[in-house]
Amino acid sequence: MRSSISSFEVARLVVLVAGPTALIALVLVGAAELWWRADPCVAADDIEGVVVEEQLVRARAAPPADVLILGDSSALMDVDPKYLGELLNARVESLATVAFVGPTGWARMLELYATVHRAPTILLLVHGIALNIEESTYVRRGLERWTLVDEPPRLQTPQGARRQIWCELLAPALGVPLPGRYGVSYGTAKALRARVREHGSLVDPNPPPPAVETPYRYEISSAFSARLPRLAEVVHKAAPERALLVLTPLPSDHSDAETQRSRLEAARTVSTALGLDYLDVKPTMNPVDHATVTHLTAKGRQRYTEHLAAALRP
Amino acid sequence: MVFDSTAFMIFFAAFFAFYHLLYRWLNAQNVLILAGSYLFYGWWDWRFLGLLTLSAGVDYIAGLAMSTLDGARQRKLILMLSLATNLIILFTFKYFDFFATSLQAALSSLGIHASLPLLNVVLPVGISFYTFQSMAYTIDVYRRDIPAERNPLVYFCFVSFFPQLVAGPIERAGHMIGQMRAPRELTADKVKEAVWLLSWGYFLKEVIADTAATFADEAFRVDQTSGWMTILGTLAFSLQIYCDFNAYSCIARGTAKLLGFELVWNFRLPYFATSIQDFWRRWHISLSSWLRDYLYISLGGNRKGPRRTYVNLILTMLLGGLWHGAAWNFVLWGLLHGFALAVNRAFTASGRSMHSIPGWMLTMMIVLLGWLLFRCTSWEMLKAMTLALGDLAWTERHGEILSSLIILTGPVALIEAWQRWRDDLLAPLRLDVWRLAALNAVLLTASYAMFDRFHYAFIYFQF
Repeated sequence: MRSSISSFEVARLVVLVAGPTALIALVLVGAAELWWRADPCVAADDIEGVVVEEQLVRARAAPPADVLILGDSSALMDVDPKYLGELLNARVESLATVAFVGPTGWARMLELYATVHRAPTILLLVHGIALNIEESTYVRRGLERWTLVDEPPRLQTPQGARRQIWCELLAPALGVPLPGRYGVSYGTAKALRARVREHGSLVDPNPPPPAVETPYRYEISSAFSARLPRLAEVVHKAAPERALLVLTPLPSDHSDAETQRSRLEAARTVSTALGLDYLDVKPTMNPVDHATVTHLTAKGRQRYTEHLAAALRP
Repeated sequence: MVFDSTAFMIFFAAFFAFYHLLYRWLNAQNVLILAGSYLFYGWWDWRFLGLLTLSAGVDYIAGLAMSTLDGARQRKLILMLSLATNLIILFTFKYFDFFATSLQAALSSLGIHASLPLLNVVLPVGISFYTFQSMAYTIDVYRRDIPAERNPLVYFCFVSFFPQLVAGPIERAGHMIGQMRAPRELTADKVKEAVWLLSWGYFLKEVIADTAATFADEAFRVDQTSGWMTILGTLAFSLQIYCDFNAYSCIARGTAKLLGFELVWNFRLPYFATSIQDFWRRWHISLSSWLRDYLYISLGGNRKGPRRTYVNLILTMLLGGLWHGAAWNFVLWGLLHGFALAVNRAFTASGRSMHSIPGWMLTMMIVLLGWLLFRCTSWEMLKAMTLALGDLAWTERHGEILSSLIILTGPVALIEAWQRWRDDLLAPLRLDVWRLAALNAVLLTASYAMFDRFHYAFIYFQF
């Protein structure tokens, strides 16, 4: 027995019937791709993208500050700038972003800010994990480049079309919440954006992870080291009265004597390369104060801000 | 392999091309269906292919044995052996740990501390679907509704046919085996219908169901304290589960159609139902008709008086609930529907009737309450979600979720209102070529933009 139509006829049928659909879909995707190229949109559920985009805007428009915070997501999440300002009786602004923009990106933030204001104190807060990012990661994430050319990471065709349709049309229309606990805490990317714009910082909404005894070792990648001279140059140009490096805390169950030894060595290396003074603020926090290895919970952030204020007081 | 994966897209494109190249040889096409179906299923976990083969093999042999025997007792014995094999497989892999832990908890509450062994086995995907499909075959052969299938290739193709293997529709041998034997015909109308079903199915899954799932996840939490989140979460889940499952059924129908097969409709606009009985004629039709034909009628149906009818309805729905999974929330969900069907039957038996609008509202209340039970994965969650109803303070976030749900419901409501108005589930096919193409293209482009964004598995895979 055989089927009633040949494979040639099947192919002809499919082209005839599905062809118009495919043609219109191609036109739609093509148009979205062109739109993406002309005016790329940050992915609506990309928390890091929202942070970088907003902080770039803030860097140009932030008010004058006595203390300016720079650094990775631990700087963004572990310190409450408003509370720190109250404790120090000073104006504190945060332009902290994420680890993947690296020292070059942090330098760019400072550079933009310095065109308008001069902060007497610059605080660079970095987590150990940010010291060990590889070159391929900086390139792949594209966030560092974004801070330099002021443009979201390029995507290969037709990924740009996908993101543009999602970001410009579907996500705003559908009001999709951010992924995971961020969605529960902040709702949509719009709300997260407003939060960063207003405060220059965020709270990691995750609950403390299960305790694990895995001592951490501080290491500095060659890619990170190679980016330090640029940051050193910009800090030097900004001419602050005080420029300090702080290594943000680890959960205490991730730390042993060797962790602390490698921490001090890393701090010395980085602060020397940048020409900053190292400020040794509490190196570990109770695991229940941590939302992740790199970020603190809301309570942990409050405690750490108090420790930081105490260390900063003359 | 799942429908919303790149692996499936590549697999199906290659399968479709190769399948139609074999148009001269029906047996070769069937061999390809069987090989493709085993690849499709084994992609997830090849070890469970043995289970699928065992279930199908036992029923194939049982069918043959029943066809050669005339003695009623011998035929019944073979049927029992076949059903027992399938039910043991199902019980072992799906229910053993549930009953063992429930028994352990019950004994513990009586002060008896027993440590019962647990199997801790992974639930094979689609086990409830293919065992029910295979069991229906042996029952049909036993009842002499259909002849036994002698060709093992045809029979194994029927049980393992990949478009509907893991999440239905649960097909009947009387409907499918004839198609497995006959030459496949692909016409322009069939391709047109398949393209529509695939476009609509992927849109329902990628855009509607998965987005609704994010709101349901936001709401269904053990620490929920907002009554509005309970209400909005239940609405979100009702949209998610319908669109998710209907999407699977549409994609299954569409892919089967491209291979020249006709699968049954699994949904007929269930949220337009004006009574709970009407709902079950429209929701998961292949399961509800299975339960009616092989369980409810076997229990005596409505032939043994009103009281027994009510008991049969409740028992059938209780087992229908358990079919979904080994958990108390499914038992409660089944009981709720069973009681509602019994009350509905008593109401109509008394000669009374309800206007369609209050009937619809009451039906939806029951259905929504059912989805609340269905989605709560623990007693703690059910307790928190219920107690939260005491706090009905409205916040900005509730407004955002509500407006999102309205926007998500919009396209589904529009298409379904059109289908209902035309009394035709394929109403969109009445559009002219370019309008239909534009509609399909918009749906597919939106699905493409959201493809793989949320990573939600099809809900009915777990059953």
